[in-house]
Amino acid sequence: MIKTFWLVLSLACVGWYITVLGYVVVKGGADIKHMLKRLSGEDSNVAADEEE
Amino acid sequence: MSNFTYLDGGIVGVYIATVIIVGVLVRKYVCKVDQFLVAGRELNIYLGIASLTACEFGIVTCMYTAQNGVKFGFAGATPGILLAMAMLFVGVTGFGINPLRKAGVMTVPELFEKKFGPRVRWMSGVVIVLGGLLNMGVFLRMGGDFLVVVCGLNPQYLEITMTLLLAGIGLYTIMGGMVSVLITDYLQFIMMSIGLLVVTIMIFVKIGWTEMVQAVETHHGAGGFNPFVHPDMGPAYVIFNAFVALAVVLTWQTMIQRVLSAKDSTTGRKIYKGTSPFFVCRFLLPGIWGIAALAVLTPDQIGEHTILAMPKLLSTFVPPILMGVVVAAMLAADMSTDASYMLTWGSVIYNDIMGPLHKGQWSQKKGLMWNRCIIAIIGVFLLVYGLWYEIKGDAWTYLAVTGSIYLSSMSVLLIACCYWKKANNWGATLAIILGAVLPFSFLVFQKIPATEPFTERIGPHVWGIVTYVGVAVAMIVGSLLKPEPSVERKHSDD
Repeated sequence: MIKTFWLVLSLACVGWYITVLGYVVVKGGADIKHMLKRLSGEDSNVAADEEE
Repeated sequence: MSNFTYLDGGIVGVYIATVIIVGVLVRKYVCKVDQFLVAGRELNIYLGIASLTACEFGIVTCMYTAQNGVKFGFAGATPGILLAMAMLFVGVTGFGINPLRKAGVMTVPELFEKKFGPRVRWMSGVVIVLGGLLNMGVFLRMGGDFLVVVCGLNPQYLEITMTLLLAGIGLYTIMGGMVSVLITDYLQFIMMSIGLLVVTIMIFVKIGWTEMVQAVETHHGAGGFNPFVHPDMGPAYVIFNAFVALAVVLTWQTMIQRVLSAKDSTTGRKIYKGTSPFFVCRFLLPGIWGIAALAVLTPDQIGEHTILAMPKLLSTFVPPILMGVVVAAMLAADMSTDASYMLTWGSVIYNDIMGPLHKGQWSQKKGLMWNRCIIAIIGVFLLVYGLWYEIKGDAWTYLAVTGSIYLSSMSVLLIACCYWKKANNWGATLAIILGAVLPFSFLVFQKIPATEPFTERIGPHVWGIVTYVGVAVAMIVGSLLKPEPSVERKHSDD
């Protein structure tokens, strides 16, 4: 029983990891683009404030 | 003889150079201190999961979790299960992290100032840095040990190799702060996940589940599957690790910094929920590597240093070219951890310990310069401490004990700060002092011949439980001895 628990948990870990890896590769890349875009916007606002 | 070839060295070199260049290139997005420390709070869910996962898995993690596999069998993954449960609980309920993110602070001690006053904030900063740096101090040595065994690296070149690696990590962390850390974490997450998964699947296919189960049964009996009946674990091990798990997810600065960098508290909770299963993987998959070493290597080959069993297995088990990918994956894991940890402890030093100096009034330029200097100093400390300190006992317990220098008090303070109206600075001060003294004294007693048998008799787990319970009692007793309004209530009354 307990050995089956560890087998199921090990396989679940591998399965979960493969799924999350796929998701994060695609959506994490989009998150990076979004973050950099926002940070660039923030920088130009700071520059504009400093010019004023 | 290792399977590591020049071609593998080339793969590793190209990967490291790519990460460092990318990390340095994004420095142009950092102009302000909050962009440097918390990436302007623009972190979203999937990048958060990648970053948290990469940050919380380094070579050191792989080494101590594999060592747990060798020493305890499958039961060695117990801390991972407890961590995942604690993280899921906090992610679902928002316990502790909701008020923390909503307060808009950059570090945990900053929140404490609102309730307990500036002195408690400063003391919290000191214990967080003390515990964090002692914890991180062994990372380099263990990473170096891994490279020596897996790559067949001449120990003579160990210092220079680790120094160059740390210099590269320091370079992009100093330049781009959290923005560089997040983006390089993303690359490192991909690389380390590929390495982790490929080796685990290879072990399943080539060595086989039955062989591993038999090895655990032979070496550990029923205790290899159940932590409660393992002679070196037992209920004290499980209880201590349950305390550590909850404290880690509530206050471990590298984890909390992802919550604080998140767009809002809902995103922070989603990052926690999404990352929680990883903590089982983090212990179980390298644990399986350790068990595989137990199944394949002879007791003579494993030797006294169980922490080196897994690298010894990898050095001959993984074929050339794939070896390059695996070593690059492990270095990726290590780089993301080192970068995050340097940035994190640096942020506490600047924000909380140096707070009375700058009072938040320094210019952004001066603030950025100081943050960068602090990270460089931490890098130097890591080199010096990492090369002379030798761990006694298993690595995970060392990390749990040193982490407890601040985990015990900070978790109690956070819970009291958010959920107990009567908590005040007396209780907080007493809790911080006791929380630092108890684990630190254990480390010192362990090194003194006269007190070493005493520490061995009590053991780190019971000592750890006493620390957590003692700190909670200190918080309650201290607060009740001075039942006066907290700083926050005083201000609101005014």
